Amino acid sequence: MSWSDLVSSAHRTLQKMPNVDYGELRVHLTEEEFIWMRDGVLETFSSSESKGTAIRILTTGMGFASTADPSKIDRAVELALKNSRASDKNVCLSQECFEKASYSSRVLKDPFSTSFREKMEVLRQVDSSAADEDISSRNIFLKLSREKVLILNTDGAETSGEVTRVKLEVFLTHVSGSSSTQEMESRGGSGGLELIDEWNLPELVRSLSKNMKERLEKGVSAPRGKMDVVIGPYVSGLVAHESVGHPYEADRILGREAAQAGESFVTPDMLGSNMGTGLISVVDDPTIEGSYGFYLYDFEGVKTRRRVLMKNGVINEFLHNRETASEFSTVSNGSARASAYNREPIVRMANTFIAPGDMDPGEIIEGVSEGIYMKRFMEWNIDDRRYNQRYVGSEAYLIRGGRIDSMILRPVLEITTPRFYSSVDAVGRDLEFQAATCGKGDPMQGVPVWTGGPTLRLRGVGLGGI
Amino acid sequence: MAGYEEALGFVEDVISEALCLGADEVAVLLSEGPGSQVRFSNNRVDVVKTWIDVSLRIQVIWNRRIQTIFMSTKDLRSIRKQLGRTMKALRSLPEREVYSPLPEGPMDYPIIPDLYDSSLEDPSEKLVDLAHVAIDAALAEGARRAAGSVRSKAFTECLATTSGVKVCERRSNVHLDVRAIRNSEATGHSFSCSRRLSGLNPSKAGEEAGLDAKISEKHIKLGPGRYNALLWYSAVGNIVGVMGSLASALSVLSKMSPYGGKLNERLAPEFFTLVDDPLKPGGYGSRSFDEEGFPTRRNFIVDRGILRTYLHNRLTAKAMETETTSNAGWINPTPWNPILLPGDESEEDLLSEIGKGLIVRNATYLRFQDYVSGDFSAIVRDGLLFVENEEVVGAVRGLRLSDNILRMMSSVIGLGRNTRQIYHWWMEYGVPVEAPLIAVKDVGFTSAMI
Repeated sequence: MSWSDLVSSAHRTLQKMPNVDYGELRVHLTEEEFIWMRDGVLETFSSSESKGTAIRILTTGMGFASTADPSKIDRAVELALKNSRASDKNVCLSQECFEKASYSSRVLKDPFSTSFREKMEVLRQVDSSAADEDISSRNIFLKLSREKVLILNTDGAETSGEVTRVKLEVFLTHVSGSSSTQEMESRGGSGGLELIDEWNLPELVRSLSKNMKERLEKGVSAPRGKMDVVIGPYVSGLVAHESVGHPYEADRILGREAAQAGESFVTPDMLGSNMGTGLISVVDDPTIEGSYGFYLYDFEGVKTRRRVLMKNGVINEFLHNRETASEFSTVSNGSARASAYNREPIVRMANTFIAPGDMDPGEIIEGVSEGIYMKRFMEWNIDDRRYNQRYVGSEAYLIRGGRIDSMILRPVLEITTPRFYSSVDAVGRDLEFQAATCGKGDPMQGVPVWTGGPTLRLRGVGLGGI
Repeated sequence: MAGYEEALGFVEDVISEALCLGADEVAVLLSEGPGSQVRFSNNRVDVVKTWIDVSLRIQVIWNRRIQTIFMSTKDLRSIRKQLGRTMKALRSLPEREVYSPLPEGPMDYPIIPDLYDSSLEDPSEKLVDLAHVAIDAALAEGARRAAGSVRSKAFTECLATTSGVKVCERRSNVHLDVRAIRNSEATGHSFSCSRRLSGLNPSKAGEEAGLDAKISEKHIKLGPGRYNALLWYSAVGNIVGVMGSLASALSVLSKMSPYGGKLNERLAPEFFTLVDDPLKPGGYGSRSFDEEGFPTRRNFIVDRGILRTYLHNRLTAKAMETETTSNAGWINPTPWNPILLPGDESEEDLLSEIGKGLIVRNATYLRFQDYVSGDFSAIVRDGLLFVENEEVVGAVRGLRLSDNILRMMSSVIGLGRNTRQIYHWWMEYGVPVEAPLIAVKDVGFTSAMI
């Protein structure tokens, strides 16, 4: 069935929806293309199409059903209704003003109509820049997607969106004798292949490759103990995502994800309390044109907006869908997303970043007499309350007398979230973004996001390891 | 193939379409059947879900060029359109240097008992009851809140290829996760999984989670360092799943595994045997055929401590000049039903063996610093219990498991005599595991509290 036939079918289904507190239909199509080049040779070329309808019905509780088969939509409605009666949480949804709207990402060079040879050439150029430096193993991935979503509900929403995305990922390994080191880079955005030129990955990969070789030759053991630590945008972006974005998701705060990714150290009454120095603000903004996490209406049909999660060190706002907004007696800020037609919309981030300051990164390093500069990391994780996090540096340096000194191997920054944000005394103006796929939910839902941040300086934090 | 005529007829129609458009070889894998889920938190059911799902995968080959298609439909018009695009794209692809054709069929397949339970075709109301049993059991043991999910699937999978493979199998799964919460830092987790609805034990899972939450309330201080550790089943599932999945030959080829160059080397003590056994009756990951149509077989990944094989599909086998191990994965080979064979020790023996040490109840979020070296860390949650003289003294907070996967394998000092089938929400590679409790010497733990 074509997209327009599915849309017509959804409208008809909404018209004959049984008398319920709330009914919602989402027609959701995702087309993808994936190319993997390994050591200069095509490893995998795959394409996918996921297309179907999701139904949510609220009676005594929330019921969900989905189908990829258009002839079974009525059956899915029956199942969602039955399921809603089996749920025993009395779900309420926030009151929202809905509108009829549509939007799409701006695409100059459609990746799906560009020749395969041209796309392979993109990969080849990136691969060559690492191969020229004799990097032992090179994996380059190009992922293209086009997502079309229509939301209809009994509260009056009728929104549709079409977002095309491009993501280029690089995973490099260099082995020298018994030592090895790895690096990963991921750039992505909404738009077409024109984005690839902006990223200039061949140059970045060449520089990364040189650095990997050099660190295996010249890197010295990382120091431990209390010292000043400067982190680059590559690191601070993930810190923002993991330790502000996730714990400010209202469904985690309320315990709905407790058995999966976990809850949050943040409690509802912490709104308005201090979490960091006044230099730090963290924003989640789905409306950034060209971003990897771009959308304008969320997957409940709510118009989304920029959310300032932390404002000058103060907890300012949580991420909400309609269910959590109702529990917090507020309105949704358009954070509901679903990764495919067969997934329920849950609270998600989009493009989360630490807002840039006004300092030059060089100036930030000059202010450190003895410390380290962690420019990039490989290993990271954070506990289920998003309180205790760890980043192990890949490209990293000693700082002595305000200057970058020798390369160091695998410095370990293991730190609590409050300690991190209260230690920041300098924020750079060099905001950068990485593309990522954020995982959450049960069944797992991976959604495209940007993680972003500038160079930050942390005073007197502990470097550890074992 | 009685009872599968409709599904097989459909996959053969897809093959005909692809051949008609000029493909040389085609494999079609159809998976179809209903799924249900009950999610709960704060002692209540948040949502009940049903999926009427179709997964269609097509491998299209033309002149040693391969494209894989994933679709969620059986609509032949959409499939024809997608195949048309694929045939056009295939003509632009470079020829594969390393190539092996689809295997010649027909083949004989093992019949594996207890893989399907028809009561999982429409179980949602029963799943709600099971969720409540788990919640009540956790609360009865001292939890203040319980959260989790029960998820089931009953499906038919059919594979047919242009080289004469034609095989179908019905399988079902149901698993339950329950997390018990006494307070924000005192939690417990357990699980139950089975091919059959009657095999699920929500009461036991709830009790185990509830008890852990209660025990975890008594907090004791312990600094970072190396401690002997006993890994409990939730943690074992994740860590052994990683050990098995790292044997994928494609992971080795792409330097995403520490096993590269270590075939026939000793990785673990004599009593450590990790076998992929998809033939086990009722095994949560058991199946009779791989995605290329080879009959599955037992493969000893680590045999009495020695790394014996990587896991292959036909293409990785060709690249490494060996035979497939029937672990295809069209793109990445995968273990189906890895089993760490049990030892002969009771839980008390193992506790005695670790002496003054830690019980790791659950380990999640395992991330590698470097796959080649095997350095990693993982989040420890739902009970990190300090034991002394075989008694739990209290729960430790804020430590992280930070070690090396090869070092941990080589430092296993004991295996329990009872195995459990393990599948829960956080399985890094999504591979179910059967394994006993594992005692490991000198496991590294780090902390943010320095």
